[in-house]
Amino acid sequence: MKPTVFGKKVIKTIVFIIIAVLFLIPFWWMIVTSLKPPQEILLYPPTLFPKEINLRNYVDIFKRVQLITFFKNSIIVALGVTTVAVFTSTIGGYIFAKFSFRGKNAFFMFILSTIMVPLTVIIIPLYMMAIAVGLKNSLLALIIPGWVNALGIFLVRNFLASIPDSYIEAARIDGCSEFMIYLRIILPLLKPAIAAIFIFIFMANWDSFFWPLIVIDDVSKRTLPLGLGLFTQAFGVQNWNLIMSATLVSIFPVLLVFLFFQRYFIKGISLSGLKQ
Amino acid sequence: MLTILRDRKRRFVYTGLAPILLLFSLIYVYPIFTAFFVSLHDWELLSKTHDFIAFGNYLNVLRDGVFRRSFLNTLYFTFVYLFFTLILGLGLALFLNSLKKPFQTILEVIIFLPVVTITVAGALVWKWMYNPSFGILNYLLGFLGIEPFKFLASPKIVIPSIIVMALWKWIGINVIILLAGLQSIPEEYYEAAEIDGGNRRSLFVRITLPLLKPTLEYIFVTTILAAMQVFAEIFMLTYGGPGISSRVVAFHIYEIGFRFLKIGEASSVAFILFTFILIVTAFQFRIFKREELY
Repeated sequence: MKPTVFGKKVIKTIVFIIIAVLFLIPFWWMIVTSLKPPQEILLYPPTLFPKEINLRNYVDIFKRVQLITFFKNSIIVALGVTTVAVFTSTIGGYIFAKFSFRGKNAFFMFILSTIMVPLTVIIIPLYMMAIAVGLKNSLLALIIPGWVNALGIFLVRNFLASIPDSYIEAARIDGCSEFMIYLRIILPLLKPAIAAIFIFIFMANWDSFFWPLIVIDDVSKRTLPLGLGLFTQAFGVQNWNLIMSATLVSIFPVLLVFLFFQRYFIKGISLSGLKQ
Repeated sequence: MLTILRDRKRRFVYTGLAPILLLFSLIYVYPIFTAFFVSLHDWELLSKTHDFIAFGNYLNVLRDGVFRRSFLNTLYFTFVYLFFTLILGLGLALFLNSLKKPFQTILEVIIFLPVVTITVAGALVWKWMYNPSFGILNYLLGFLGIEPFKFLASPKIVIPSIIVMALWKWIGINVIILLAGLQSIPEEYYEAAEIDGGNRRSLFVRITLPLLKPTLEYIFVTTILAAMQVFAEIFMLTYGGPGISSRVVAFHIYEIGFRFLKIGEASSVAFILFTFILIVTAFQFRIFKREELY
């Protein structure tokens, strides 16, 4: 028996709704919990919709947790990594794409091979280095290890491979300095690649947890994942409403930016495929 | 004129590349050698002296039941997670590919929402949903007539529970990559094969899968690399518990290296993990290469 066109549409709609609901339940439960007063948290069966809209938790959470500080630290770290990494990725990718020099292939393979080095393996030496140079418990320790990115260099090199050399050669004959060619001609051409690199490096650092966990000691220097992850350990079950409001506040800014620029996000993050 | 240009180019290459290569060496290469060096010593983080004990740490670690359990847990997590990432990822990508434009984008965005959510935040919600007494999941499963679970408190289902959370969090990336792979297959291939009289399933096996191979290979490598190092999810959801039922290698390194400060032993664990990852990926490339002969 062949399903009719109409029947197919019904099945597709049902599957669509099931998938959407499964992915959205955690977000909805986050919102509902964050609106509940403490006594409603410990009700069984749980109330699936809040009895009343109660925004108290959102006021309380800012008094009890330094969310603003965590947010500020996360922004400093993510931007401090990303701006430098975009610079090194574009200049490195450009050099590997458009110049010939001795050892080029060896250098390139060397850089690519660092993709296979897991953070977990080098985290102890990185920690020892941070102590040795006095960067333990500083945001710089979170920033510097991200300054070079093999995937970024790789993407830029591939992107530039399709750009004809004559374009650059013409500028060279006109007397442009090499750095000016990079700045004035190459960078503008690279805009789409830069958007993608920017987003995947930013997001990887925004989410980073293991490295900040061991390097940062002061509460005032915690990033958002670290701050959110550690303050909740001191909270009990009856505080799940506060935890959920803090969680929602933490993810809200990036979620909003994502909804506006979803096309760029999806492209940028899927290009990396790697979580930090 | 030409030599001036060549000198300028050379200067640009070397001044541009030198700091980049230096940073890569400092951040990736030097630490690997240091990790190996430290792993050969009885090395406490804060003590000044450390004795060379050759492969003593490795022998101790391999005999240690806690490490062995962490390693097996990591393997279990990685391969079950990889399996479902591929199956569900492919299923979701095929479904998305069959949808028309606004609906495709809407579902794409929904599936991608967890990816842009901080892992710690995602883990917190799931921990709350998994709560055996007040959590929503047992309540909802009750409607389907399913007995309540002790999700994170039961040694048997704690890892599957973490896998479910991790799939929710990360599958969006792989769905999008697979969808891009599917969309790059030219329509004519299917038309030609249909004329030859292929049915739906044989089209999938003969055209879709082979053409998706580079994409699948990429997902294989990146998923294994990430899953072997899973940490934030474990730290937040279970802290390796109950007991050591969900303890993984990264967590083991964290605890013995940074809580007990035995960085010599922790480095040997890290090196065992590194070796294993290299072997698995090398093996993987060989499997994919061999298939290309057919």
